[in-house]
Amino acid sequence: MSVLLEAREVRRRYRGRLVLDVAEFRVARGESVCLMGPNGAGKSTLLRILNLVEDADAGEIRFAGARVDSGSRWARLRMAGVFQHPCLFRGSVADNVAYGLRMRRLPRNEISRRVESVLAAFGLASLANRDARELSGGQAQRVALARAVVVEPELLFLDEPAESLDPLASADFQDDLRRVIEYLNTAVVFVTHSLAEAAFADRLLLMADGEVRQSGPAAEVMRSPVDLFAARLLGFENLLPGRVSTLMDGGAVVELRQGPFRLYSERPAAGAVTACFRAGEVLLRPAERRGPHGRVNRFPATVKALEPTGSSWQVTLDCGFEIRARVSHPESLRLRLAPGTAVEAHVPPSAVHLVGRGASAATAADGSDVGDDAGAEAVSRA
Amino acid sequence: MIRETFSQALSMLAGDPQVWEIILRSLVVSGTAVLSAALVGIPLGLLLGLSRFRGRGAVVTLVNTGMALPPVVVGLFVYLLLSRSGPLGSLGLLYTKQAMVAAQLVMALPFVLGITVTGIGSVPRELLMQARSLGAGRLQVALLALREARALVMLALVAGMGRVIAEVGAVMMVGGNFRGETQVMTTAIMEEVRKGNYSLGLALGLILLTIALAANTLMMRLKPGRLPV
Repeated sequence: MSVLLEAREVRRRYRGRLVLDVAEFRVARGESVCLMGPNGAGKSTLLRILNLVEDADAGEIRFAGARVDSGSRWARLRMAGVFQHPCLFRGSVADNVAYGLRMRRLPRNEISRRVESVLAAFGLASLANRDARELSGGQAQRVALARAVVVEPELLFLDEPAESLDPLASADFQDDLRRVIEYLNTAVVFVTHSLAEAAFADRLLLMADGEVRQSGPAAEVMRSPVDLFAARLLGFENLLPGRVSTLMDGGAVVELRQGPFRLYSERPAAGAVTACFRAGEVLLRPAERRGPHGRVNRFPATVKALEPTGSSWQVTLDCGFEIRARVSHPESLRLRLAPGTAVEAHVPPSAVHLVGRGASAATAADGSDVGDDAGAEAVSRA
Repeated sequence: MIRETFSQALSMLAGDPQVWEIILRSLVVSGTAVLSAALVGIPLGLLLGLSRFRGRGAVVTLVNTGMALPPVVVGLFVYLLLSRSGPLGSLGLLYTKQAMVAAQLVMALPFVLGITVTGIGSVPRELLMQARSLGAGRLQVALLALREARALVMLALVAGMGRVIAEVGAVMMVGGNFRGETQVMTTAIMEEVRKGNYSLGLALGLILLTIALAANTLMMRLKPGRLPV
């Protein structure tokens, strides 16, 4: 895939503070790239600079091979953006959707045809003549997405467009977004806090303090965080510090810092590490059916607490060390889970990712510093 | 007596061409002044409202201060400019309608400019950024800002008109109140009352009150974000 947009050594200061410092960023034609990071990581600033609605203080941006900045309207006419809030203009829904087409000076009949077509595709045809400012949040954001898509941009920017919506509207919007990303032959750069949305992307970039901390194919980044910050951001609730004692069969045995426990990982590592795994990957079975102790990553455990998380339960388990598991409602009933219930917890070795402790000075997703001891307990993320 | 004066005033309004000549002249002079203020003030207001530069706050404060300029001071300033010994004396504009328009323009401009800046400044930056992200150029962004702030911009024009049509000091000083030439409603009221001709004064006063009422009604309806249908 050929490179469509490229940014190098892009820096931006705000009131003297460096808020963005990105060495390199590329988007290929038709590629979808997701930016994730805590608030204040510089995602939106980067997006606005790439969208050429703001200028960087330093650095170079190239679009289709040519150097561009906020004055390069020809390049902006080949892009479109949707921001966190719908930002609808005064006028009807159809007027709003037609705005970008009018900026491109398309013939009137072509504008009407495209507006009708996109409104129908987004299920907004009945709202065409409605005052855009009388719409619900979900409808307004859908109009904003339709308004960006209708210009058939080569590059689409989406800055947390579902962030301000209620859960129901957000779910509907995610469906629209998935359709846009999957079926439109458009490069997309989007910002999100949602792992589910990030999974749509071809590539995932994790940002903190204005810098890109990890990037790569989305599936790979999701599986293999490079540091504790990335692990937390990517939903690894269990972070257990330890030291690799043995390398075996291409994997590693980690002696956990807490007690005489060993955790096996299929990934090789050496020295001081933090073993990371997601709560959803911990398997529970009744204590009476548990296998012999000592089998790989199977631990007798007692339920310490149960917390509802919407469609499932988050279970805090005491295995001698503390971990979190997530089980469905039917599973929790089958296991008769309650505080004090004895179970067996199984952490599949393939689910255990090892992060070198050299990376432990990373800044956590909530902005706090994650020191060596911070991983001593399972960490839950909102 | 009040009742009789009132009835005479109404009959003058019904059929006295002199009254309507004065009313028309007032509307033309003040209308031209406000239109000129709009031609200068709206583009300047857009520029000032959309740009960010060092000292912008001071400029806006200066503009807002201009809203409180006393009419006689404005009149004196324009008089000095247009008097024979003044820098523009050679134009021979003193005691003409053009001089009155100039004085009223100086008075209306801070209103139009100041309220336009406030209106443009109240348009969310994200909205303008959104327009840019959809391909709008500088001019299109400015037009969008104007469209979004149009209620306040119209309010600026109404407020400017209300200010200049009711003032007397400046037009008296630079227009001279010559009957049939530069006499407008406010200066005519002053003269007729001085002569004891209360009926004409009251008739013109009624018109001024009606205009003030209409302007205020319009201003009340032009709250930000709302336009009359």
